[in-house]
Amino acid sequence: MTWSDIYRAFVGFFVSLRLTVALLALSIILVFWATLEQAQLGVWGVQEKFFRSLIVLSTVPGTQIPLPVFPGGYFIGGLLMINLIASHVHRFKFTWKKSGIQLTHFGLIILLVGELITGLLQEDYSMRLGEGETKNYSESFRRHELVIVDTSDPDYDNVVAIPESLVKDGDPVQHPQLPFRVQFHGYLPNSDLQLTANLADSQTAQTIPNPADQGVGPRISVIPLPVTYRDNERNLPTAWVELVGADGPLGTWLVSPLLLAPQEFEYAGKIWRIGMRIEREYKPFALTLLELRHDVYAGSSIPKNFSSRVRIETNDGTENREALIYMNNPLRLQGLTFYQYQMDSANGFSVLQVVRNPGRALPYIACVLMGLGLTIQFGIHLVGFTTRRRKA
Amino acid sequence: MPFMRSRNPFILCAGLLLLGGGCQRDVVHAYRVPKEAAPTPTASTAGTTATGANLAWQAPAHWQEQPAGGMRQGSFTVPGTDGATADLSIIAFPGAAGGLADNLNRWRGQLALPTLPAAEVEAGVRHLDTPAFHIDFVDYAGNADGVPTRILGAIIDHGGRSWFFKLMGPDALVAGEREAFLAFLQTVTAAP
Repeated sequence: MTWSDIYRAFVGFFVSLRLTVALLALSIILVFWATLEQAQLGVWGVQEKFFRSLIVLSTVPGTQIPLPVFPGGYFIGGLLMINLIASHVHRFKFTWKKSGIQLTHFGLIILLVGELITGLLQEDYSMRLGEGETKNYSESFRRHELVIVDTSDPDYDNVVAIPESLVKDGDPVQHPQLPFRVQFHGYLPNSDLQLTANLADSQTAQTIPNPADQGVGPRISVIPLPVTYRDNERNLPTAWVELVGADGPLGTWLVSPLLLAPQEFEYAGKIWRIGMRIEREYKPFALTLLELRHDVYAGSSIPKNFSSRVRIETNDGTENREALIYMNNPLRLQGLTFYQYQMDSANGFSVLQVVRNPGRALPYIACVLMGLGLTIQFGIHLVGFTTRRRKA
Repeated sequence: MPFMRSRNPFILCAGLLLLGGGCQRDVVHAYRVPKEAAPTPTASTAGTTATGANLAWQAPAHWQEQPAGGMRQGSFTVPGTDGATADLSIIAFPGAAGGLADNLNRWRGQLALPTLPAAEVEAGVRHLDTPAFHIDFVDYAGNADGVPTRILGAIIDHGGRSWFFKLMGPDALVAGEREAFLAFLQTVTAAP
C-alpha cells in the first residue's frame, strides 16, 4: 500500500455518505438510550454521561471499573462535523443552483460548533444574595472544592482551591503556596454527617470508619449516601485530608460542605483554615442586593413579577450603578448574564443564575443561515419548475 | 470498498479525539481575596437571646443554654423534674440538605421508627406560619436504646440553608415541653 493509497482511503472514509448514515444511526440510538436513562439520571446526568462525553462509560456490575460501551455525543458530533466539512471541501464546486444546500450545510456546521463551544466553555453558576448582602463571587450548582486558606495577611486571604475531582482522584497535591503536602484518605461523593453523641443505635451500622484526628472531625459520624442525580437535590461530599509538613504529618481533617465553618489550625506561625465548600468563582466586581420584589396579581397569590434591584461596583472603580433584574430582563455584565432564578421574599433572599456562554449567539446565526439556505434552494426549484411549466 | 479499507484512519481519528478529551483536567487554583468577615461565633452571651449565623431566637427562661460548637448554631439543655434532661440542637445545613423526607426519616431512625415513603412522611408534617417563617413541625415518639424517647423537630428554610431545631429526650419530659417549644418557634426571627 503506497502513501497515496492510504491518503485516498483516509479521504474516502471521511467524505463517505455511509459514514454520515452510520453516524446518524448511532446518534438516534444515543438519543433514545439517553431518553430512557433520564428517568434515573436526570437532565444534567444524561447530558454529562451521553452528550458531553467522547465515550459513554458504564461500570462492570458490582465494581467501579469503567467500561466504554458506546460513542458519546462529542465523538459522534465531532465526526459528523469532520464528515460534513471534508465532503464539502472534497466535492466543493460552487454553483448558484447548489448555493442553498451549501448555505444550509454551513448553518449546520455552525450549529455543531456552537454546541461544542457551549459544552466546553459554558459556565453555569448561581449567586445567592440576602437583602443588603454584597458578594463578589458566584457558586457552582454541583461542584465543590477543598480550600486551604492562609489568613496571616491582615487584609487578604490567600486561598488554594483544589477541585473536588482531584480530591476524588486521590493523588497527593503539593502546591508552592502551601508549606505542606495534601494527601487524601477517602472521599464520599454524597454523605450525611451526624454528631456521634446524637447517633442512635439504629444508625451506627450505617456509619463508616472516620480516620479524622483534628478539628471537629473526631466528634462526627459519617453515613455514606447514594449519589443523587435529581435536579433539585445536591450531593454533599465528605473527604479526609491529611496534611504532611516538613517534620511529619500534622493530622487528618474531615471536610464537607455540611460543616458550615472552615476549621482552623496553626502551622509555621500562621493561622490556616481548611474546609470543603461549594465551588466559587470570584469576579472583578461585587453585587449588592438592594431590594427584592415579589409582586402578585391583586387579590390572589399568583406571582406577577419577581425582581431584584442590585448595585454593581467594579473593583477598578470604573462602574458603580444600579440595575433591575427580572424575568426576561437579565443583567449583562463583562460577558456574564445574570438571570432572576429563585426568590424567597419571606426570608429575604434572591438567587441569580450566572451564565457565561461565548457561543450563545451561534444557534441563532445557524438557524438564520439554514432557513435562508432552504428558502433559496426551494426558491430556485420553484422558479425552475414554474418556468418549465410555462414553457410547456 | 472505501468504507471497509479505511478502518485504520477511523482508529487513528478515535485515538486523537480520546487524547484531546484526556487533556481536559481540573487544576488547583491559588488566588488572593479580600478578607471575609470571620465565621460568626455561634456561642452567645449568657441570657435567653441567642443568635446563630443569621437567625435569632428567644428561649424560655428554664432552658439552659450550652455553648454552641461544631455543627451546632445553638444548643440548650432542657431540665426535667427528676434529673432527666432533653437536648435541643439548632443546626444549619446548606440548601435542602438532602430533602425534607430524608431528614424526617433520619429523625425517625433515631427513634427506631420505620422509614416511610416520602409522600407518607411528608403528609405527617404540621405546617406552622409564624410572623417570620413557614415552619415544618413534627412530633415523633419512639424508642432510643430501649428508652421511650420523643423528638420535637422543626425545619426552617432561611438564607439558603435548612435550619433544624430538634428537641430530643425522654418521652414524658419532651411531651411536657411541647407548648414551650412551639412558643419558642414563634420567637425565631431573621437576625439583623
